[in-house]
Amino acid sequence: MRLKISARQERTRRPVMALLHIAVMAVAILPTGCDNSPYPNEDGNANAMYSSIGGELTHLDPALTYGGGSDMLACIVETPFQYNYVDRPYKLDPLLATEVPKLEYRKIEFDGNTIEAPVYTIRLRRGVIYQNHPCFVESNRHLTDEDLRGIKTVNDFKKTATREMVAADFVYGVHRLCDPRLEFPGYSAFASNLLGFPEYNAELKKRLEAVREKRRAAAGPLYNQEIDEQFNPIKIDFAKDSDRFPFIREVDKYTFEVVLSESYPQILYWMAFGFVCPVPPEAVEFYNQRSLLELGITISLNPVGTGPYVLESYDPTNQVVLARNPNFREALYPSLSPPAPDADPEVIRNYKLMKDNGMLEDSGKPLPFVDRIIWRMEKESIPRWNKFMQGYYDSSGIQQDSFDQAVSLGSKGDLSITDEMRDRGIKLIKTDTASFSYYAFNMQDPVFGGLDPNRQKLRQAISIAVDAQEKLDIFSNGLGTPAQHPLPPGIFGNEPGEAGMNQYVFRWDPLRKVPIRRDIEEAKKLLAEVGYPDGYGPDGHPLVIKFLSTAVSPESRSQLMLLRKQLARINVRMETEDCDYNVYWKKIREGGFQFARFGWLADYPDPETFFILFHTPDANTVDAERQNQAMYDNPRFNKLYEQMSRMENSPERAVIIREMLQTICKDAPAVFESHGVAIALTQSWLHNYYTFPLARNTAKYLRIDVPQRTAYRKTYNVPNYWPLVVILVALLAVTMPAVLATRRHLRER
Amino acid sequence: MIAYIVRRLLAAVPTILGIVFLVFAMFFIANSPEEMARRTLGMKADKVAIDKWIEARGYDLPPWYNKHAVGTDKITKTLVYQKCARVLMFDLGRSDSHQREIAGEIRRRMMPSLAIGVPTFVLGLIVHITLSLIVAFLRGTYLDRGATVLCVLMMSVSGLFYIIGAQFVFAQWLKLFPVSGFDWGNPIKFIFLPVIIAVISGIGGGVRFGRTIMVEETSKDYVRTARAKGLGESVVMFRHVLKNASIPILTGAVMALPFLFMGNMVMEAFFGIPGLGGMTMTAITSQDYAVIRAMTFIGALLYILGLILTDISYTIVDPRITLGSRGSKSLRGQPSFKDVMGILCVVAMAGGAAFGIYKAVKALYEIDTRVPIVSNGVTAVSMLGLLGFLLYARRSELWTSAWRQVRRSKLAMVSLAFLMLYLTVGVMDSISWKDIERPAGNAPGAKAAMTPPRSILDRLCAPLAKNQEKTYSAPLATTLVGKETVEKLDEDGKPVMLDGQVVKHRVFKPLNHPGSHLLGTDKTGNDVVYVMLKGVRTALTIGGLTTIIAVPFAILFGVVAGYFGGWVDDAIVYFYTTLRSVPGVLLIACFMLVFGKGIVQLCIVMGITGWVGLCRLLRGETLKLREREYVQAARVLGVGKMQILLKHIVPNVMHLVLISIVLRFSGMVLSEAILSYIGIGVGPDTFSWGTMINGARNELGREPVVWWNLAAAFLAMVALVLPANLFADSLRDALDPSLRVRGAGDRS
Repeated sequence: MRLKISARQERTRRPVMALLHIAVMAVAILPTGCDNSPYPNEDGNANAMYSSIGGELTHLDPALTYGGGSDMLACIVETPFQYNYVDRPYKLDPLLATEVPKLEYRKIEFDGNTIEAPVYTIRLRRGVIYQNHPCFVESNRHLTDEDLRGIKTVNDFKKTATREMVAADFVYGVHRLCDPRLEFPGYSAFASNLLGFPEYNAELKKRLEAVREKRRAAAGPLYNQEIDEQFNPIKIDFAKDSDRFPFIREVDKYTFEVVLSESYPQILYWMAFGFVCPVPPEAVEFYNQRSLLELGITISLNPVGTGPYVLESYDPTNQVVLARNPNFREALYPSLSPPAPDADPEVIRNYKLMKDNGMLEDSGKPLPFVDRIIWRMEKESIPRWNKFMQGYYDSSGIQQDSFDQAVSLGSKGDLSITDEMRDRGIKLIKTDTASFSYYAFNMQDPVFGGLDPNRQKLRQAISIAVDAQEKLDIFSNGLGTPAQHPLPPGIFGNEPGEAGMNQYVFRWDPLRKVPIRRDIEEAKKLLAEVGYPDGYGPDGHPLVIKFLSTAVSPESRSQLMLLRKQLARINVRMETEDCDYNVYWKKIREGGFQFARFGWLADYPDPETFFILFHTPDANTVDAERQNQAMYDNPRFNKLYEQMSRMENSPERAVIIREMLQTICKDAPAVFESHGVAIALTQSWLHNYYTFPLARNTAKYLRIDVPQRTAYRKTYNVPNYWPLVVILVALLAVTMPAVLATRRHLRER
Repeated sequence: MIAYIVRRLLAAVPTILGIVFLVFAMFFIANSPEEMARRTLGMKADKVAIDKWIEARGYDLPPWYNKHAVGTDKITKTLVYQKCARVLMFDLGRSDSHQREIAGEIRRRMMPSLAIGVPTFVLGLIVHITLSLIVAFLRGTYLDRGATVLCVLMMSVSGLFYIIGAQFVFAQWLKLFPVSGFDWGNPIKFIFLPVIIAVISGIGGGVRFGRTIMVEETSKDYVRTARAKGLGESVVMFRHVLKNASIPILTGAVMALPFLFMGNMVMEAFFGIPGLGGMTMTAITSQDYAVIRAMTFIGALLYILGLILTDISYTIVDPRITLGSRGSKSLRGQPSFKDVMGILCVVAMAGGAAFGIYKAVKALYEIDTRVPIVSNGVTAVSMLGLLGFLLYARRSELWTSAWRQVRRSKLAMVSLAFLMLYLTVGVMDSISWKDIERPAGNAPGAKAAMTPPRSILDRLCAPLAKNQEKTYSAPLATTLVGKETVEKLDEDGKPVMLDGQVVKHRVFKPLNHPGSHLLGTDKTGNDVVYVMLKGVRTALTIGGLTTIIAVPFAILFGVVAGYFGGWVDDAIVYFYTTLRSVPGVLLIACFMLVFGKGIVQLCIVMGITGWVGLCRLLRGETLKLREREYVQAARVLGVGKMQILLKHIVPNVMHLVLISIVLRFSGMVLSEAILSYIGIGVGPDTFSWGTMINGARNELGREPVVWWNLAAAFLAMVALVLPANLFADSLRDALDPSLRVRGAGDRS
């Protein structure tokens, strides 16, 4: 019997020993392979910048990119103008152009008439060359299967060339925006302001249809247009007949002109966007080849430009990498001269700000500074924050929950960094964003809508109760400015102080010299005046307002709870109507709501882009998508809008805007909530960073101090092994009794 | 067997067709091409851009039938033909949102998902089986009890917390692994954490389930015989018990094999793994129909493959099981026409009854009375149902003797007490009525103004509900959690001035009701104990309603499919394959769109998507049971088929049903949290533990850490799930006839 037991014990002992060996080996290997760097080990000392993107990139085609990807595109492709990085208030500088053009008027022939049309003549720099690209080699535009052996991406092509940028490329690029097959996001802005733009679009559509008919007839009944055009796209000759459509025209090799249908000074801002850029026709021809399309190589994945960077690799699900463009011309970091003592206080303040933040140290040095830029996909905010603190990202926004860890407010209410952050060398930058959030009433609603004085007072009462400062305190650590009216600070027309106050919702506090929201008692009084004493209507029913929402996150639920709490203070009951995204937008479009929240971020720094939210256009204007969710239709307001929308900034314009603000504050078609603030944290080794939401091409100004970063990473990322050992020992201690008990049971059987 | 496989593969064709059409139908009920365009292009897009988008992707056709076309074009120039036919020919097309080739995307993203999936699967299987065997072997000892408690605890924690916890511990604190990301150069350090977390988070449910199966096997006669013969325990375990207990385990394991390609959505989002799960989730939230269609198609193929593999592995492992209808076919009998009609009638009646109830409820909801009819009515009906069951049980010998046995166990009685407590709270929260705020005035037709309905719980807890603060505060604290900037006041209460400006400083603002919040307050200042209590009703409703909907269907279909085999089996398998292949999230989203958001709709749709798992399990078990001697004996004796099903098969699968119900219960509550994470779940007005857990994600990252929300939800959930598990264990032991025959002492 005993022999049997020991034989069995032998058998069990062997696997146990084996496991022990494996465990020891694993523990020995761990230190060598373990570290928490998400980057390949060779990248440790490279002059590269690491950044994150929250959502997937879809494309980098200049005609399509708006929002996601525009930062990357702006590094590769350049526009005629750019925002000056250090000078405020916002102004446009020439980039590919030699100067910012002045408006001229000229007689233009169009559609059989002669019109006195506004014209901008844009003169380009000479000697600007594109990046090296295979499209400029003639043979690459007629590829054979032999040529394509081993080619997986554009960067695999051996033969590349370049050429100089000319005005014809701009003309081609703008014509291309009219291509009916491209979903150009700025179509309505261009169509309503450029002379002949919609007509050219119609003409191109006709041409496409003609070709399609021919193809269909030739192919027979089984013709699948989608598949055919996917690999054999119809080529459009944009230059043909383009004289009939004067919106863009080549004047000479380095000059082109843009013709508008009406004066629209904001067109220059649109031209700084990214849509208007030089597109070499060779690139479009290259990318339209069947063989490349089958490989999935499109212009969307690899645009051709003159900018400081080129696309090195593009894995849209994981990361995007840009590398320095060897062909980039000499461009210098902007300088700012010290202002005269009697200059505008804004200018003086800005100079001091730039100087103190070290933004002027690199003035006059050649751009770009960083060799590579890497954007990693990071969907969740918690890992993003963790990696920033570990030094693996060079800059970050702040989420509200990590706020107190990072930021503290000084005695005068100014923001500064906490001690923990300061020890790590992290800096804080805060700027006002040109943004605006509001709760819109449906002005067609029978209970809350309408322009008569009773309803005005009803809406004003609700505006008083919805306390924006309280919401900012709870959800944004008090950062942000409660809005007086739609225009944010820094936009022409926004006046600080008592002059710019919304007198119906706020009152001026002479002691603190700030607007203070009126008391709840005043709101209750207003309600009583218009027939809802204590929140009860004439028929005894309580006043109920329905809030339409798609609230899904815990954050938005809490915000809804707060809104309900605030309305309950004036005895107004709030009901939530919760629905799906698509149903939500349908209701908004059809006016099937009472009360809903919206936010708006400006594309360019002009008041027109905020007033458009409350403007009802004429019935016979271009069918642009209505942004006026509140369906506010005040004829006086509409008329003033039409007057001021095309004016340049001037005292006359300011007068008109003042009256518009007065009107809209009295009517209160929405509760004006707040204007946002952008805060960024940057690491000590990142120089020249400033939050600048309007400009997208700012990556070229950034500089990295690589040794400093390597040192930080080493200091703050020392692997800790001892807790692991403790855990393992604890695990063993817990499982030991189990193992012993098992063996005891075994022996008992 | 070959014939069986061929038949199944052929049956796959209509299945795939059905799935593709179902997805198409559901998608285009829930959306229109304009809405899809708007989703991608954003709020600021105008009509022209939207039209271009639609045209470029070929969505400018009518969905089902083209009136304006001629001849065959009437059918071919429609969305349904263009979109579905392509995919059936394995042409997956291009994504709607980013126009890249889907097939290429899948190829690229498959490997990272596999890199995580395969190690998880292998490691998980080994760990689960080993631990289950050990625990089953040590049945009855303190280690077994301890392991049960530990398993339940682990199951009560949302997967999200394992992820966040591990990221915090290993990546942040110990700095041993990167927080997220993926790089083929050094894949191990990126997959280590996700794999470990996936395995650990699955241990709770897996071991619990495995233990039940093993325990059931160890009580069988052949095990006793083997032990009596003197075989060692390890031999008994590994050679006899394991193989026989493996069918239910195989059901899960082999099924999971093909899905290793598809990836785990949440894991991939948090760890930044560029895999297929993340792609599917993005497609669903951004409503990229092309990708959803492609992934559903692939998923359906994989699912069918998995089913066939599972069935084949059944035969390998259990020689008694024969696929097809060979074996005891003649003895079991084919379902006659009457039987089939009977089953269909039952289903139709149930469906009709459900529809009728739905319409009635909807009508009753509208009526504005002092006492809300629907919620009180449902509570009353459930209470009556429970009472009715108790009365029946008093007279049933099975249940009274089971009760006697359960009463003997102190642990079970304590668990029951906890459950009763929860039930009481839930019922108290369900009985509500309105108060009159203002009597009706003298105006004609004027009605009295009434408050919204308040339940008994609301009234009892009124002081808790009223004591609101501004925002977060710690348990029993006197100030808010974070500092606030306030003006500095001097002794007179006037603001202190400096250089003409008011001086501000950061202080901890005192609470309105200091020291009164036992578990602190949440973001908008509600007392956490109050929120926790309100969440009980939500949890009970979700768990209970979903189970009531899912279980009867699962039992009916699973047992019928397993017993009869043949075409009945095929039909039912077809049905649930189609249902299962559609991404659950898509189904839920569609359902919510048609029937609106709310707890009831959520439960219905979770019930509809949830019964398949149990059904497959029961089908597998029935396959085993139908070859048993007593079943064959019953047939020989002439017992009717329905009688056999009801009296022999169903009671013998009840242990699986019971343990499945209890396991699903906590799963239901937790999946409510994940659904909220994706964007579908209870409405914003409803309190639920899932919402608290979801919100706690960000709260844990705060400085100082806000832990009390999470602790409260966790506590509440564990205090419900643990007693439920323990009680269900005792009840199952009490109901199992083979256990009852033996005396209390003999445990082997």
